[in-house]
Amino acid sequence: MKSSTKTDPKPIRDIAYYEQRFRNRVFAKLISFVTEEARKQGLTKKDIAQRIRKDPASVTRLLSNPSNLTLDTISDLLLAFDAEAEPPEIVLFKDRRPPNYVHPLIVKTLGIVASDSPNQATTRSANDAQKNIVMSGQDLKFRASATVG
Amino acid sequence: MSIEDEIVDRVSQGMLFPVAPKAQGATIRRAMFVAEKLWGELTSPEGDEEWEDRIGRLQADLEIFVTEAEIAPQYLFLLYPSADAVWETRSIKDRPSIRVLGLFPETDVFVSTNHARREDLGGWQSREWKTVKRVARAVWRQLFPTYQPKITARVNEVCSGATNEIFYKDRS
Repeated sequence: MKSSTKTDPKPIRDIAYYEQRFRNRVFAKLISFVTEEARKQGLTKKDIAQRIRKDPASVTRLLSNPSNLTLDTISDLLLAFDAEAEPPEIVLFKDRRPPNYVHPLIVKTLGIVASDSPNQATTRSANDAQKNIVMSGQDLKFRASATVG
Repeated sequence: MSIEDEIVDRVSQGMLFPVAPKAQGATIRRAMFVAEKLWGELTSPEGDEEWEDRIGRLQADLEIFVTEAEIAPQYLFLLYPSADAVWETRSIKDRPSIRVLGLFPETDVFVSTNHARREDLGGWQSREWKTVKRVARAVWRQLFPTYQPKITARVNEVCSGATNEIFYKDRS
């Protein structure tokens, strides 16, 4: 992603993407925690609902779709397990490091390598790799020559 | 040729396109490849506001499979009949709700064959649903004539980190 100039509006596609990505990641973390903790404590949705004074259907709704989450409902769900969330970690894009793991087929097809890979010198960001495909995608052909490793 | 070699070949021929996370630095735990039509939409030139918003969210939703350690039970569904091995992921934040169909050549590798708007599909027994499932199998056969997809009803066998949904069943 390009860094912003003072008045440069972000593309709507990027805004929607990062909103949804954030929501999805929080949801994944929450579902993982709730599933694990409910199993450990032997709790059902009905039990959770009772603990936070909601009806089971609303707990079902919260756990079924990232779009149903708000900061308040996240807090409520965590409180049911005597837990709370720490504030999110904020990272500048420019400080992001390359991924620490890349699926082998993506290494083969996109040439993105993990930060701890011996081929790190040839690392390209996923963004660059994607851009390469987008550019060559005008005729919807992937340039095999773009692959590294 | 192994199935992995076949996939690399289809990518080089422009028949499949790997989905890489748009966000820099994201761990790429699994591999997703999409067919030409969906790729064309993901990389489409700028459209109106609604389209841009929808495509941004669709990309983020597809990336769940690629980047997330845990996959929630609401994300990946095996369609009936299970012997066809056609799975579905959902992108439902905004209308239109989108269903992306595909098959697994191996664990943690999803080949998305086709997609549809949920509103166009009707009920589960509808002709439209049968058609999109048939298209998914046909596209697979076209891509990999000599390879069968992985056939299993257990989500953990196609996707590592898929959350077991037993907890959701209330005991009462």
